Amino acid sequence: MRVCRAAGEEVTAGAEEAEAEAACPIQLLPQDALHNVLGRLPLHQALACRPVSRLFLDALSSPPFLSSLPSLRLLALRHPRAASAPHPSLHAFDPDLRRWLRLPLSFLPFPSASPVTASPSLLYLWVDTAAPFPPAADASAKSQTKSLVVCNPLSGSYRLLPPLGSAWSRHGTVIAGPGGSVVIVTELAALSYAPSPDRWLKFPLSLPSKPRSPIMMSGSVFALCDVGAPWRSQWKLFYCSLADLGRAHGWAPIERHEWGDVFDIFKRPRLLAGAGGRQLLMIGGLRSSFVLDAPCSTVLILRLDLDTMEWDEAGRMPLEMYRCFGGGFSSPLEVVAAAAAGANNKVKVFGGDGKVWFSGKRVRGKLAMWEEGAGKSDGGLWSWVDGIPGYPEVILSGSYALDPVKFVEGEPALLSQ
Amino acid sequence: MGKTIKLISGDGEMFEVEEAVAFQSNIIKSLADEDNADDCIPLPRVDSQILSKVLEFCRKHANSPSVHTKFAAIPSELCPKHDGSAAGASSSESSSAHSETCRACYDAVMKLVQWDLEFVKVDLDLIHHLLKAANYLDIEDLMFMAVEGAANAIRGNNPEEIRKLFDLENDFTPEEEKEILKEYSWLDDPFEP
Repeated sequence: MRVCRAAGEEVTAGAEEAEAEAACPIQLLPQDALHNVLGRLPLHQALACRPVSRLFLDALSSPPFLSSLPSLRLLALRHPRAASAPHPSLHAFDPDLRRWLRLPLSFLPFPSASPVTASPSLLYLWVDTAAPFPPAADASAKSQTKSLVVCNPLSGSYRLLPPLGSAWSRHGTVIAGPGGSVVIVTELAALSYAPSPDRWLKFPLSLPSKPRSPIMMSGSVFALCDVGAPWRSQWKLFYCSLADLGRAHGWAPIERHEWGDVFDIFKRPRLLAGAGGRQLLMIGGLRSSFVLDAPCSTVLILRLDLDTMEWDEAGRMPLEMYRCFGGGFSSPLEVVAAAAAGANNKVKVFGGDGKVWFSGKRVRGKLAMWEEGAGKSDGGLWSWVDGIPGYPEVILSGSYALDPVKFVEGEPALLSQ
Repeated sequence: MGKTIKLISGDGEMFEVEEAVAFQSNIIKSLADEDNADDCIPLPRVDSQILSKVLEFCRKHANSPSVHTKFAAIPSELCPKHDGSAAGASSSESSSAHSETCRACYDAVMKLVQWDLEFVKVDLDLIHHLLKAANYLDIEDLMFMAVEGAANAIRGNNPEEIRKLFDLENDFTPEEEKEILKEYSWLDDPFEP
């Protein structure tokens, strides 16, 4: 706390008079007293104080105040229609207050923006950047360029990354990395971008097969590859640090003899980052038997601790919940009946940072959510999240803070991850 | 009564208090450390009414851990069970092991916090004066609780009520006010997708 004056200092008569004339006591307080008071309020309440007076507005808009605010952890949806005109916005869910927010994206000066992924603090979107050249006689000469934009949806600051051919946006998986870096992975190659040198670098991908579910965690990319036969999947975990992407043997498998057949129990496994950056979550259907088309008994979440290299069971979807997705048949009759009815019981898995969400065509208007519980081995917390608009394509998990993120050419000051 | 300090308020009134009470203020503490022939510390910017309230707070906090202290760091000498005497503390316990499990310490600190919250349930005018005095005298816990008192006054009130409480004018034009309300309106938008 800053102290204005030490006791015992002489005070001139003039200063005392000026003080007596001040309009009201609060204006005589040192600036950080007001900051401290406002900082004690919940975010919405503090922001609601902006229209009180200029004094409050200035205090609430000052960079020191904004940067002291805790981040708003949001779960954002990639909703097919939300991002386009007339009011481009991002639908996001606040899991702490359990309510929906609509963050305006109108600060982006592009005709349409399609959110694709999020890092812990920044949102990435595809935008069209092909300049409307005068119409060329040859239609095929029209070049399609897409660019990624990285932005902070709360502060409204954004940065355009160098443009790419549209093939990357159609076939690549975009993964957000630390410090504003991005990696785009396709079957055969990877692109990587870092704010410095502010260019895309291309690398061939030296993996045995198409990477499945690539994610970024602790500065490395993790992915699953199917190294089995066409009639029987065999999943293997690979990783490559960002720095080693270009090296010939940058990708290395992660395996331990003690793991046994941990991958074989899954149908269509998916990777997600666990909480804390040192745990990998693997989620997928738990095979009820090794017969090829056997239905899954439920959805299983396993957790790999990267420090101990040990797996443990993080959670298992409750059967009542799994039934809503169209699974959990208790008899072969049910399986046959469901297949005949054309049941689609595919469960889509999204999330990150220790939270996992599940959506399914048979579950309209809500998502199932798994969160890590207080105790490590308590199976986590399962709940339903209602009020989902339509059928969400992808869910981006992000944590957004209100501090003004300044993008300066070549030297972006980005939020720490 | 142990060693005492004499404080003179802005309007000339003298307060004599124990060192432990007065030294809650880092400013008074550092001034008293200097060689003063007579231990009379003038506080021209605090009048007697406020100083008496401040000292009431300090007296309550004189032999208690600060609200900022983590429970694990409460020294065992301050534990009510041990009656403030170090000799009473069990020699086999380290002081951090003592406080984390000591129900008496936890209850005592929480009771103090409750007292503090009542103490700042006063009108804003007094809170302002306490904030100023706490800042001027550098009394961390009083600053913390006065800020909490002011935040409590704001909580749950709309801008107009806040203006009344703080005696502020609305110095925005209607257009400016409209712009401001629009900027973060999405935070309050009851969005039912």
